[in-house]
Amino acid sequence: MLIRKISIENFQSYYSCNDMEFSKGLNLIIGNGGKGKSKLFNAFYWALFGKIYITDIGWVDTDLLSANSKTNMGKHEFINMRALNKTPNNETVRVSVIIELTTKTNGREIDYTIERNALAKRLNPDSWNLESDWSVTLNELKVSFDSVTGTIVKEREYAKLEIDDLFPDGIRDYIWFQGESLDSLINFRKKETLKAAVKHISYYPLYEKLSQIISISTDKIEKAERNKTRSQNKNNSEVQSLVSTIEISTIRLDKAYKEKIDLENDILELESVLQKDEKKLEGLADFTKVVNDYNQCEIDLSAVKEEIDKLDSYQRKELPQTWIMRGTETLIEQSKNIISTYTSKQDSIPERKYLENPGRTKLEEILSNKQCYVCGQDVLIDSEPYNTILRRIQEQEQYFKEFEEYTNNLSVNKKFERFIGSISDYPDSILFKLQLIDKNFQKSEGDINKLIQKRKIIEERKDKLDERIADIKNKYHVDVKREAGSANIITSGLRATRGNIERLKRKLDVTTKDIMTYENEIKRCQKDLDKFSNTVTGTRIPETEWKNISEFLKDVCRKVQEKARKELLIKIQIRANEFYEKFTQHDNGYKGSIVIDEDYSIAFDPGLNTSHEDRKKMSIINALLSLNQEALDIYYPFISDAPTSNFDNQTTQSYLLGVKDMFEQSIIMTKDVDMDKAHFQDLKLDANVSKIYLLESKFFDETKYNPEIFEVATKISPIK
Amino acid sequence: MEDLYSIKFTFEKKIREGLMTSLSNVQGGKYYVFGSLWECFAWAAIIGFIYEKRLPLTPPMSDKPFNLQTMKNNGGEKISDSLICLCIAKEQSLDFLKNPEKVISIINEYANGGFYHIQTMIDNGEHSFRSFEDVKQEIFSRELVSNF
Repeated sequence: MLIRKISIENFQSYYSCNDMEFSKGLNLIIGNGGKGKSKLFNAFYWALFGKIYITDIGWVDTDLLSANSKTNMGKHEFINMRALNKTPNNETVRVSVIIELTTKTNGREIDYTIERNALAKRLNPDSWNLESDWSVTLNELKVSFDSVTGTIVKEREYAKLEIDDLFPDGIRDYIWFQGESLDSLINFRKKETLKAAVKHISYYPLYEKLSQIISISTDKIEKAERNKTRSQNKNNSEVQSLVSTIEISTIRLDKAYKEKIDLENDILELESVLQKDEKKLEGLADFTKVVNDYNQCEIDLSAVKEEIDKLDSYQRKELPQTWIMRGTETLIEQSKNIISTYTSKQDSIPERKYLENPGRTKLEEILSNKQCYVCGQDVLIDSEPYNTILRRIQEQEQYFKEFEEYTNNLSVNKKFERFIGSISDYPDSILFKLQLIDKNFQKSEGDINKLIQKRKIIEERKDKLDERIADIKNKYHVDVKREAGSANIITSGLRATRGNIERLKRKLDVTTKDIMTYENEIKRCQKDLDKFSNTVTGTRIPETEWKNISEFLKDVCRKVQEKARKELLIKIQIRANEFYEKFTQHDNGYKGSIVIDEDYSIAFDPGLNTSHEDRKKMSIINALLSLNQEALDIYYPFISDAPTSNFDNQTTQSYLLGVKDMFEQSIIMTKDVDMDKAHFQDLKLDANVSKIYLLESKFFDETKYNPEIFEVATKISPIK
Repeated sequence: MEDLYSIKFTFEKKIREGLMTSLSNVQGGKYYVFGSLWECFAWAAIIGFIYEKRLPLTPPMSDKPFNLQTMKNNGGEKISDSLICLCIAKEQSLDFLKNPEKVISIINEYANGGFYHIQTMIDNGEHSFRSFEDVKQEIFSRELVSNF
């Protein structure tokens, strides 16, 4: 089978009409997250099977979508948002996907065109993105192909039958491969998964079917033989008794076998639960540490926040009460000088100048007498002694005047003086405060910066723990924060499960012994009966011959089937290891190998990481598919979305190289390709790589930094 | 001299409705830098004193919500003291202190000058004063001339 083309119109992220052509070999679709890879995969799957993949839910029929169901997706929401947005009220928008493919039947190539479409009519002029805004038709399928009588067109259920013929149900999961479902397809801890996989996609079931038919025939022949023996020996109580014993034991044996199968299944189921819980518990010790670390981070963050808040409050208090004064030092010092100068002046009472010895009367007497009464010297007008005495009289007058003024103002000034006194220490006190501003500011800023730094470190630690918790959730499907305290519950659950397994195993032992007893009983009775019929009546019943032949056939078939089964498992192991070798050729560390036991169990290797585990799983699936192709000579395209999310670029490269040589056609959607690296360039030039498409976002309004969903669509760029 | 502490400050109505409201955490202030109007007023007055921005007030005037006593009673004792000292430095004497109205008027005029200076800084993009950090930046980018 070869898929030649897909045409997508208004489906999910694909707006308007988009075509992609494919050829034999590897068709690679590259795009980062959210660019439309999974939507392309959905487009393929929807066209063929009417379903889209919803994370954590699985494949969902778009006719059954409902905003109120667990899908939480309105019935219109698989249609492109821009197409919906641009459709006027009362108008209809069409969504369709057309796949063109070619199959080879009996050496003749037939071209098929598969088309699925639906119509949505807008019902609300004011709103376009609610479920109630749209009436969506059920999707319609049409398959057309050429035949000798011309083009045949099949619709609805008939078209569905054609699709079932083209892609048998059992192998869809393996051909149409969604990376997220890897665990459910191959689970190392559950041998049933490989058994189921082999059943789906290999030639081995044919042997199993044949063996089953022979086994049923043998049972029927044996029954017919017994009936005949009984009717021919109606009067022989020993024969009657032997036949009855055989019949009763056969019924008991059947019952015991059924019980054994049920018990084995129950034990398997419980062991699977046990393994799951053990894995959970194994992680829980780690979870508890992670959650404790996480809680500690939150406590630390809260403490740091409190400290920062405290410092912020301190700054908000200090700024208006003190810091705004910064820069006033010079002015404050000036005020200090002015106040102190004034104070020193105020402190001096007018100097008491020459009030006595001699007094004013005596001085005036000297001037009037023109002679000093002490030394007898003449004091003539305008002489130096005369002027000196005159100046002294004036000074005395000035002093008296000043003193009088001082005495008069004393009460008025007292109040002012008191005020000046009260403000005299302001400058010093302010200057002291000013001195501390820069120091206090720098200290608080420094402390805040240190705390911000500390907060950053804690937040980084918390981010890492967040990532780790998300990883654990992905890996173990466990909400770490919720489950960390549930170790005790799991432990008691484990104890109960182990107890149940022990009880069932004891029951199984009893049933196995019962089976042996019934088988021996049947054998013994049959032997006696055979002996009896041969020796006593001498009559041979024809059914006995048939029984012998069918038992011989059954034995042969069992041996062939068992041989084929073992060979198949060995082939799967060899082929899977070939793939695994390719996938891991660039790894230097321990990578182990794939070991498949005869009972379908795949050896689990605790020394490997998730990436290696995934590579093992992919190797086994690829081995199964390729062996199936060889055995049945049917070649399906291998179409896979995100098969490699746990791989690094180098591993992705190895994976793609493996896939391109293995399948006649493969269509792989992946994000893990570094287009600038040399190995991608090599891949691009490889003849087996036929097409490479790059998926990107197309923005309808490029000026918008954060566009609405209807302003973005997938853009397809062919690279090769 | 009790009068000096009880006389209320005056400022222009447009300053009250503009800068003071946007910087103070009252009556719908946008930026929440200062917790009270008097803090904002004191900041502007000190800016006026430092940068020699004395500007007579132009009517209409705003209501008069606080005085030096308000400052003293609400943790701004040093601010109140410093405003008096700054007036002394500018007047180069103490005699004017005998007239309390004159003292308050001087502070009013420097605060008014300070507010206009702040508005100019906002207008020419020197500072935005949209946050507490902006005011911190203004304060700690002032040049210090100290005789300490």
